[in-house]
Amino acid sequence: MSSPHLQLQQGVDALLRDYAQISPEESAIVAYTPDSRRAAAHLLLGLDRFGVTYESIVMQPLIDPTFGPTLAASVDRIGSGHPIVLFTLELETMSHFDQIIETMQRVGEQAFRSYRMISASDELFSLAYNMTPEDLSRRNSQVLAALSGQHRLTVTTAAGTNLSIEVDDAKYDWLSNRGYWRPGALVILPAGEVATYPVTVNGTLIADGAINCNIITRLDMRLKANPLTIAISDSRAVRHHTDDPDLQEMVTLAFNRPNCRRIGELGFGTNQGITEFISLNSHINERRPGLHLGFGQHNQDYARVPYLEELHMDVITDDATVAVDGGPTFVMSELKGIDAPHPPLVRDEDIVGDCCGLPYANLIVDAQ
Amino acid sequence: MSITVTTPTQQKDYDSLLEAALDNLASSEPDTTTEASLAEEALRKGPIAWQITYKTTRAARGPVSTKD
Repeated sequence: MSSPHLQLQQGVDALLRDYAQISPEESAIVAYTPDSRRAAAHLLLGLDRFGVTYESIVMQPLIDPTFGPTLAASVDRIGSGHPIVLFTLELETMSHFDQIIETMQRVGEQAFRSYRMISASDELFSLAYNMTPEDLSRRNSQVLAALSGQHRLTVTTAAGTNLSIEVDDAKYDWLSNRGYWRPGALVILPAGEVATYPVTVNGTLIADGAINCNIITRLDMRLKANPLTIAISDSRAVRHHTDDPDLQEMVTLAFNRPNCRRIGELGFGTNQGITEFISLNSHINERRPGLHLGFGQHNQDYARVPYLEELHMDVITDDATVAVDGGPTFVMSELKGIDAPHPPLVRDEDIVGDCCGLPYANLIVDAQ
Repeated sequence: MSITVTTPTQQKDYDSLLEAALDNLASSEPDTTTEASLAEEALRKGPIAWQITYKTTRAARGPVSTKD
C-alpha cells in the first residue's frame, strides 16, 4: 500500500482485527478528545468497514466531570446484550481511568474490553499497528529471557552510546507492554516495550532518536539532527548537551527539578513496525526499537524506590546493541522473537492512571 | 468469532468519507470543545492531574498478566 490513506486504513483494520479482535456482534464506543478528532474519524470509518455499531463521545482531557455519566449512558444505550469495546483516543494525555474502571466493573470484566490510545494521530495508525500483539509478545519474551534475573549488560549504539547497566528482577519488576487484552485490564496503545528500574547505570548516552515526556509541548522532539548527549554517573545525569537550543532548554528545565536527574526507567522498544521517529512528543517514538532511559518519575513501588517525581522524560536512541555479560548479545532492530511462553508475572502496562498533562509552563514556573 | 472486512476504500472516496466523518463529529461537539481551549482550560483548572504515568503502590497495578 503506497497511499497514505490506504496505510491508515490498514493500520485501523489491524487495530480492530489483531488487537481488539472485534466482531459485528459487539458494540463499540469511541471516546476522544478534540485534539484527536481526526484519529477518531479514521477509527469510525474502520468500524463501518467491520460492520460494527458504535457511538462516539467527545471528552475533555484530564478533567471532565461529564465524562463518567456520558460513558455510562452510552453503555446503557448500546450495550444491552452485547459485549462492549471501548476505544479512547487522546493526543497528549490519557484521562479518566477511574470512570472507565468504574464502568468496566459495572458492566463486568468479561463483557467490556478497553483499548486506550495516546499519541492518537495519523502516525499512530500508519506506524504503530504494523506488528501484531503476538509479534510483540515474541520479541518482548526474547528480551525478558535475556535480561530477567541479575545481570550486568553493556548497551551501545552507532551514535556512540556506551552504558554499563546492572539489572536485578529480584529487586525491581519488569513490565511488558505488548497490546494483549485480559479481563480487568485496560490495554495501553501504542504497544511494544519492556522496561524496569535499573540497579545502576554509568556511562554516556548519546540519544539520536527522540524525547518523549509527560509534558505538553509543541517542540519537534526528534534528535537525529542534534543528538542529546548525557553523561551519567551512579544513575544520575551529570552533564547534558544538544545543539538544539529549544530542547537544550527543555532538558535543562527538567533536570533542574529535584529528582529529575535520576534514572527512573530502563526501557527497550520492541515494535519493529515503527519505521521512523515522528516529530510529536509521542509514545510512538519510545516503542521504536532502541534503548530509552526515563529520567525522573520511576516505575516501581515507593517502598522499593523511595522518591517521587512528577515529570518523566524518556530519552530514546535509534536502535541499540545489548550485550549481556556471560549471555547473549542482541540488536533491538533485529530481534526475531522466541517461541517460549511469555513470562506470566510481568506487568502489562506502563500507564495505569491519568497521564501526561504537565504543561511546559510549569517547568519554567517551578524553576523560578 | 467471525470478522468480515471490506476492501479498503480508495483514496478519493476515503477523502470524502473522512471529511464527512470529521464534520459529523465536530457538529456533535459542544461549541466550547475546540482543541486549544479544551486542553488549556483543563490545565488551568487544577489541581492538575499531571503525570501519574506510574502509580507507586503495588495495589494500583492491577492483576498481573496470565496470558500464555
